[in-house]
Amino acid sequence: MKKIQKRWPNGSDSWDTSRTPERADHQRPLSSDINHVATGNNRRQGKGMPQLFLLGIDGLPRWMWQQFADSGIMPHSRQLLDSGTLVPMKSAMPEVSSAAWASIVTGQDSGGHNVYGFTDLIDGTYTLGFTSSRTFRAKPFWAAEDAGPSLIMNVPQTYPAQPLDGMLVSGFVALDLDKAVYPAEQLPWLKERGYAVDADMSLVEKGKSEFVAELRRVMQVRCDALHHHWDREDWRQMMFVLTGTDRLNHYLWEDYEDTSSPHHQAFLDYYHEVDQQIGRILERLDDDTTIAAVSDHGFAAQKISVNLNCLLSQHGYLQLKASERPSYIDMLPETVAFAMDPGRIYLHRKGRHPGGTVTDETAEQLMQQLTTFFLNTQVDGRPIATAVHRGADIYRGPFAHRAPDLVVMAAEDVALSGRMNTDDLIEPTAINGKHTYEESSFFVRGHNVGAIPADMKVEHVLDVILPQRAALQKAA
Amino acid sequence: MSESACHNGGQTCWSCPAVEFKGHVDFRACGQAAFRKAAQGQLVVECKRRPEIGYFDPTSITFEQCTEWQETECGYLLKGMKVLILGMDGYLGWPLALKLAKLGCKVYGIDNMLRRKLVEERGAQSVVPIETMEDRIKAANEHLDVEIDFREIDLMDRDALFGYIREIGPESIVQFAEIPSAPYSMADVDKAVDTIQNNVVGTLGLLFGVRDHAPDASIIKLGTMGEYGSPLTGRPLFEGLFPGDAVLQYQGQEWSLGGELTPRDPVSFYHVSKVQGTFSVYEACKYWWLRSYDVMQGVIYGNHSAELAASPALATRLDIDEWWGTVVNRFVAQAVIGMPLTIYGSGNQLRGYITLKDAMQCITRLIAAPPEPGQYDVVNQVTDVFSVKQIAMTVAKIGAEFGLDPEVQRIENPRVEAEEHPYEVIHDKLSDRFGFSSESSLEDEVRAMFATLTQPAMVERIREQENKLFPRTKWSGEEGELKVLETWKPSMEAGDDQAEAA
Repeated sequence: MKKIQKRWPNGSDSWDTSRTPERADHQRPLSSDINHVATGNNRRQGKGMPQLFLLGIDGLPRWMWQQFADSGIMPHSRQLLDSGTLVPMKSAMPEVSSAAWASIVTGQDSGGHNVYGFTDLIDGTYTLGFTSSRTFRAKPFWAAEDAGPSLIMNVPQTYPAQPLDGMLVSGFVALDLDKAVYPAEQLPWLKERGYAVDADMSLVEKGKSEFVAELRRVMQVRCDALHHHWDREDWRQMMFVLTGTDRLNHYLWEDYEDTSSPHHQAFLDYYHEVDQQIGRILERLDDDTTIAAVSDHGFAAQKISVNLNCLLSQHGYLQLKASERPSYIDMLPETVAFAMDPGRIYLHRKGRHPGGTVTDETAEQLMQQLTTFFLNTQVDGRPIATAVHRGADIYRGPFAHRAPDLVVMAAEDVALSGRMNTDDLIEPTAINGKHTYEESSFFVRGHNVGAIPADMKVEHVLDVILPQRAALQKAA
Repeated sequence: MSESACHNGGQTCWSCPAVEFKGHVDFRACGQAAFRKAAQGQLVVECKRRPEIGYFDPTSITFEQCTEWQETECGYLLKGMKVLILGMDGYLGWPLALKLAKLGCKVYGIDNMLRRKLVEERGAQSVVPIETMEDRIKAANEHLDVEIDFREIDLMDRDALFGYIREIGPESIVQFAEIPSAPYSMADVDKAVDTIQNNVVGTLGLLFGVRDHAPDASIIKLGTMGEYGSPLTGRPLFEGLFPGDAVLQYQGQEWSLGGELTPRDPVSFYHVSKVQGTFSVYEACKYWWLRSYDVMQGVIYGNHSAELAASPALATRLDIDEWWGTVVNRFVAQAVIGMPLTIYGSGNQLRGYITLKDAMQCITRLIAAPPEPGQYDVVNQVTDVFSVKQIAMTVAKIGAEFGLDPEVQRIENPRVEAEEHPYEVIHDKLSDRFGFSSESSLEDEVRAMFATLTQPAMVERIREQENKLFPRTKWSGEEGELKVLETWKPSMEAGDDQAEAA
């Protein structure tokens, strides 16, 4: 493995073997280890340990984390994983980040928090709205009455930043840093440091090296921000999400799988750098803190991206009037079903959609027909679906009535898209890695944690890491 | 664009100046955002007027569906749309201000009052008396119950202009603040330079101001049909850009010309300034995602509109002298005082024409149906094509209804222009895409002007500037009187030509 330049400013430019997994005292960092520039020398003085540190690593598969930990690419992770329990976790259904993170921080599925994807039609209209903290309807754990001061950084689906006891910097999709920070008084510091609400995707077009450099830059500034704000106050709980991993996986998965790729090493190096940041966090925590680390979904190769609206259109389920930019407003009453990212299928129901014609009486037969259709359809010689679920079977909660009627689970190598503004059944894209429902990561270490369910899912995370709160919530 | 009964009802929020572009998001890669309008992915906007919608896809709401757009006689119009008219004191600026205000727009305007000064310096005057801007605004309030905000600002004073743009946040900007005279621009070096400086530099500066302070505003830029010239080959005068199926054949090969700017062949330094404006606006749309309609307006005439009719205190200026009067207006004035209607050269020069009333409808419709970000488009704002001789004959004929019997006089052509040429103007967009339908004709407008200008006070005002009507400015720069070639009375001709649309 290529040796990576150390980022610890202790004069050494080689990897510090004292941080390898063999080190037994990882829970008790030496004071000399934590004297790095970003956090200052005195940060521990007078500061209490958080009760909970929830680390998110977007899109990191359980198996890959374990593999990278074992192979030495992620030595701090090895140390961490050895000290607690890592299990595979199931994502939201469908396995979209916005819904999965919303489930992780609320303990509910989409029927409870109202986030089914990045997009949704505004009720009673064909307006394609984007889910945000405004449409996110369940309370995240930091908003509980007795939550105490919380530092919440880069958690997806929290934009625009909503008031809380503590500080929050939104994660993706965050469109404007000015609205991504609470309290606003912390904004100038972040701006001055070049805090990025998201990496510049356009750099993929320039080259993968440039793209990875951007991901590294963004991770560094975010991590520096975490430690800076960590030092400011006594936080009872902290949550910090590394999201560059997901971006890397989307665009460099083929390079990860192909060991001869010129970007293969860059992929591994990035994870090594992620691990350094994990080490930097772990050094500041001890046994008093419950440490959990989660990812929102797994990852796998993507060979083809299939647009379900094109497919539905080709087979007459979706009918649009001529439009330069097809959108949901262009659906004709003859439309019986349409899709939204990634595999959400909605019947064009009377009473739900302005021009909908599908009645409750015809819905059942249509759902059976569509289920058979998706399971039997091949695109470019590949089956596209492994399963088709009924929304009514999946979701529970006050917003379950807004659920898709069907959820199509993508087949191996296949990603599903529900974009309306394209005519390409097979969408051209630079993306070569896709989310998986299975094999996201759940790790926990702590004295006061609940039992991990055998069939661990994203909505169970709070039950395990905050068992009292979860119990109270259930009792209520 | 979706179908709708109203011409712009199917336009979407992506064209609406009230939405703020927030980014392009590729949700397949977990919502990674690109903040450039040129990026690929799903458009995300926020509505400045309806923040409760949250972030949304602007192509999924139409004007017809949006509660902020209301149906008017000129299509759906953004409620209380903030329109900034540059050159509001002018012949077009003032009637446009009244029309928009009456339709419910919030109208703002600037002017440096230069036109009044230049006309006065020429020893001429608006044949119809006009009020000061202060009194105009009072009269508009009194007779039309509208509020108009005006600042005396020179387009060239960029600090003041940008400050005003920042202050009001216009949703549409109409650029009329240009020196609009071909003969003025050819009279001497100072006037040519003034024209170029004001029109070219002023427009360029404006574009930077829009970029920095009102990037979502649509720019309605007034150009002129004279930008195209009159190609002797008979090539149709497309609407600014070649149609998609236009092809250049050369040495056995073919190249598509679709979407490219059509050739420009301006006919004076004034027209040169307009061509330069076209390129500046075109480039600004390309570089900065500004949006604009460039209006190739035909020769404009008349002084009537529903709003102007509300009170004489609301009158717009009507110039008739050699420099500031357009041909139809000048012919009517000449006929009223018994002066021959002066035709340059053969009089067979063909030009596109439009009445003031129709032009105001066109501009309003363009404001109501903004282009999308980055879109530059051109309309040929013309209703009819006439030869100069046809115009003279029509004026003479209608003059007879008012007891006048004018002569028509051909004189040596002071301009450098083709006198015999084909002229095929394509002017479909305004009617096909913007729902424009002409509400006035040459005959009606000329008749209405005679009714006004034959009033004794007006006759007197024409006589006061009688010696400014006959052309003296030669494109060659030479001094001296223009030779009279022929004079005749149309009334003496049996079955004479009548002005008809070519």
